[in-house]
Formats: sequence, C-alpha cells, structure tokens
Amino acid sequence: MPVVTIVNQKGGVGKTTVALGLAEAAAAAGVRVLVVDLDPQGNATSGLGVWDVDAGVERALDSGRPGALRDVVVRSAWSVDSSPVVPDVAPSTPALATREVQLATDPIGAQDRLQAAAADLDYDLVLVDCPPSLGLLTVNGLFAADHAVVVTTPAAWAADGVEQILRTVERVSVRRGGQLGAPSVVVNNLGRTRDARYWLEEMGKRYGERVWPPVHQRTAIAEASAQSLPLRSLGTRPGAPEAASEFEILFRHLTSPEDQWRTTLNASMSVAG
Amino acid sequence: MAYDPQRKHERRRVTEEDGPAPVDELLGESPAAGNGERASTTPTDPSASAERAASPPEPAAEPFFVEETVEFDSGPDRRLLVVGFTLLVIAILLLSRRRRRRRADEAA
Repeated sequence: MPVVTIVNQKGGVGKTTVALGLAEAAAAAGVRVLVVDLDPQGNATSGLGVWDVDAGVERALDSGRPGALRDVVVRSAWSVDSSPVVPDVAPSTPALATREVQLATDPIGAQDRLQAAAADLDYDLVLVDCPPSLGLLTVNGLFAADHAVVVTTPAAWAADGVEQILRTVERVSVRRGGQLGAPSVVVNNLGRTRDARYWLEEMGKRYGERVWPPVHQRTAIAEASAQSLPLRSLGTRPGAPEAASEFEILFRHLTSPEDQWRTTLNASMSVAG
Repeated sequence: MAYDPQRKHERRRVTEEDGPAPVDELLGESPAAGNGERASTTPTDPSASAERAASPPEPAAEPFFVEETVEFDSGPDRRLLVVGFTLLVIAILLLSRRRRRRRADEAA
C-alpha cells in the first residue's frame, strides 16, 4: 500500500487541489484510493463532499492502535464517470489542531502515529494531504510516506518555501534511514505571465527531473473545488477536461516504475485493470 | 533583455550553515546528514524541552551570506549604452571644434 504525502509548509499553493486531482485520476484508473486529510481546515474532506464528520483523523492518532485509521474512513460523495471506484477519505476536523499540540509531549511517539494508524489498510494508494506548516502533523505525514510530493506555485516566495520543505523531507529521510528518497516537485497554478514562466524554469534548473509537469491555472479547478465535485463531473466545461488530463499525467508519474512502492502500485493497477 | 527577477538580488538558498532544520529542532537528536543510520524514534522529551527553554539562548548562527552581483553596472547592455554615449559626446565635441575653426577661418 504505497503512501504518497502531499506537502509544503507554505499555504495556498494547492496541496489539496493536487491531492484531490491525483485521487480523481487514480479512481478513474480503477485504483482504490484513500485520501488522508491531515489539515485541520478540512478542505480535502469538504472537497470530497464529506460535511458531517463524526470521527476524524485525530481520533485515529489519539488511539495509537495499529490500523486505527480504518475506523474513521468514510466513502466520499464523488462519483467518477466510467469508474466503479470512488475515493475514500479519512476526514479532518478542527480538533486535529488541538491534537497537534498534544503530540509534542506525547510519551508514546510524536512522529509515527499516522504510520501506525495507517498500518494494514487495504488500499492501492494512500494520499496524505498535509497542513501548511512544518509541525508534527506534517512530520507524521512524512514519516508515514513512501514518497513525498512538494506542491508549489511559480512565484519567488513559493520558491523559497520549496527550499525549506525539501530540507525538511531530506532530514526526515535521514531519520528514516533513507527510506523516503528524493521528493518530487509539482508546480501548480501556472499562469501565462512571464514571471510564472520564469519561476517554472527556475524550478527546473534547481531540481531537474524531480520537477513533474505543471498544473495550469484554470477556473474549472476552482469551480470543481467549490462544488465539491471531481473535474470530470463538470463535463465539457472549458478547462475541465484539460485539467483532468494534467492530473492524469501527474498520476502516471506516480506510477513510473522506479521504486519498490511504485512497483506495488503498478501491480495493484494491473489487478484493477 | 530577458526577464530576470533575480538579476539584482538572487533568492536565498537554504544551506547547512543555516543551523538545524525546524524538523530537527522539533524532534531533537538530529542524526548527521547522510550517515544512513536510523535515528531514534523516541519523541521529544518534555523535560528536555523545559531545559532548553530555561537555558540561555544559543548564539544565532552566522548569517547566510549571499554575494550580490552588481548587475546594474556590469550588464552588457549598460556597458553598450556607456560606450555609445561616450562616442556621441566625443563626436559632438569634434563637430563643434570643427565648426569653430571654420568660423575662425571665415572671419580671417
């Protein structure tokens, strides 16, 4: 069960957008996908059409029991055309913010609570949507991950943020004996300005092949989020098929056979296909 | 000229000289980068946090120094402008001198 963590301590760069876009692409490919919403703001939860949450991720983190995440998982309200598979979600509530503070003095283990809670889940792919901070929730997301995807926007301050988060990922990887590996970088919300083009090229110069194809700025993406719908539900709304196609390309990058976890995901996909 | 927002001030890059990463501060017991050893997964010790809070603050890490390239004076386009302007001034001086001589000749 590969776990991919979507991360950046900078807010507003589109972590949730990319997480949901990848979830949609995965579901459309017949992959059983779980979205873990680690952001107390709960945008991934509401974006997947889940509004009334009885128990959120914080309860699974509280429990400390292996596999505790299973108890809080609910089916999303999405339906993706031409696919029998719908993403599931481990939802978030504002109480998660309180839990993060408690984690700091946790006598059991501050950083691998999520890893334990996600043990033995029966999914082909788990996407973890992190909060915009470098706190213990993000650290938990990275300790549970097989791969990290850093989402950013093509702008100067966002480029500074990428430097910081890559360092964080590297330090977590060292702590995990190199299991995490080099993260990927996704440039989201790419507009048509020369400044945006400049920073996209700059990311390419700095991080080379780690930079995946960008996601362009499209109104359809914002409309899908606002309506808690997958992009494919917008039908032929201008920009929606194009945006969905860009997330499919990103999903294909996730499944490029380079690492052990990708091989596992590919094997699940061939069974699903 | 190509658009380059970093022409005057290059963005600051993160280096090891910046001191411990926030995640190391958060979790403590930072292993050396690249040594491949698995770090202890024990949580941050609350008493250690209290000790850190009570102890005097450590001197700040040496600030990261970025050598600024003074593109304003050394850019190729600026240089071309300076050379062009100098040539223009010399040409004007030569022309006015020539005119003065001609007038002097005519007066004579």
